[in-house]
Amino acid sequence: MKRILSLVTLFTLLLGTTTAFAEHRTVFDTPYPRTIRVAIRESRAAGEPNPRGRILYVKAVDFDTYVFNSLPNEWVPSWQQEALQSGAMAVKMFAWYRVLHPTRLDGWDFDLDNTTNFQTYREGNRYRETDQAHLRIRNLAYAMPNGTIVELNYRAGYRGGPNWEYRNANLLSQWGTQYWGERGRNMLQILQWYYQGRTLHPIPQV
Amino acid sequence: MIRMKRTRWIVALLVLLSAGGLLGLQVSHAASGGPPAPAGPLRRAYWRALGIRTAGLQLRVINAVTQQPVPGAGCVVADTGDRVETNAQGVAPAIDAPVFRNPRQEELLAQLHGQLTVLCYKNGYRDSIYMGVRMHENTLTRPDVFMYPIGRGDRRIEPTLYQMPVHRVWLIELADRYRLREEGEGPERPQLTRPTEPPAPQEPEGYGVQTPPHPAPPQPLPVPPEPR
Repeated sequence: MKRILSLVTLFTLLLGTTTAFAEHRTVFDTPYPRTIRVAIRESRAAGEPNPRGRILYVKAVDFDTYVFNSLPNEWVPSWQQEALQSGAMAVKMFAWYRVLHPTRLDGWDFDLDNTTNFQTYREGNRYRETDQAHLRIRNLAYAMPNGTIVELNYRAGYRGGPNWEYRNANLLSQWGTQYWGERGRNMLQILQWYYQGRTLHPIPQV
Repeated sequence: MIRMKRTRWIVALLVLLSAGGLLGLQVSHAASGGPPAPAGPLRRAYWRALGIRTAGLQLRVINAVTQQPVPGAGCVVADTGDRVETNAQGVAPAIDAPVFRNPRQEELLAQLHGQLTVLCYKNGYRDSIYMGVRMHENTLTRPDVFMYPIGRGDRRIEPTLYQMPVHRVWLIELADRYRLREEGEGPERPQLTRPTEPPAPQEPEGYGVQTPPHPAPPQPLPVPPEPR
């Protein structure tokens, strides 16, 4: 009887572990996203999308095109290339996490929207330098040491400083990336300074 | 010997003055709407001489309905008069364009980028005007210009406008610069973030409520009975 009980317990534990692993999608068991579903929200009269506006439609966008068209709206294209690369990594990993954790809102299913609720996506807004930054890090992922994909969050921060308070909050500072880029830090060093306990992984088959 | 040197100096001065005069003429010509800058490799030097930095600009024109490239569209940079035409892929050749920053904001808080106005024309399409195309130094800006084809039943055919907003990072700086202590949302800070919180719901009734795609047509008004 005891043996049966222990076997049942062991089976339950194993099942639980498997379920827990299934919830944490890793770089190794998740294919690189091909598309991403972007909810397009109603614009204000001046043309800027309203973060609280009505969702007009959901558009499937090529994943790389999404990063190409979001990065120049979040990072300044004339910034240092290493700053742009760390920005490209943050934008990409944020979007990838959202593909794995989609949103359902008011009858719409989507991965993220085109406003500052998530990341600012604007169609047809590309720069050579930001495109290059994404292409240079396209086959790399910045995730937990076991490969679990986590959301890389970021905020603007302040010009001319490392933005310590953002590092303490495990948030990337956009101005901070430029600060470190001007001081010769590379993309990995910048990311490591803001996000602790994460590792750079090569993405299989990319 | 001294006279020779003096003559050389006078000649050099005259050359410089005439060059300056030509430059002034070109600038005034630009103000009156003519093509201002010399074509070719001199263009960058011309803007540099005026103390204005340049950046690359390469336009791509897209049919807004079919999402296909529009070949043979003529595009003009309104601020300089530069004109380019798109090829079979809808892409125009890259040009050097100046980075014009708003001089009023220059003294308060310099913009992170300049802005230009671009117009595109093509038979069978509405004219397309793009204002505020962001120009960053040492970069190649590659904006897509969407053009709307003129269809059957279109009566009032006017240009379409797209106003590109200034960069968000600069907007945050601008808002923080004039804030009194914790006024409004307060300065940007990491504590404000709640990454695990779900996205904001839509606006309440009257503005953001999702409406059916094809609402029922309004009922016709009842016809009043004819007077006897």
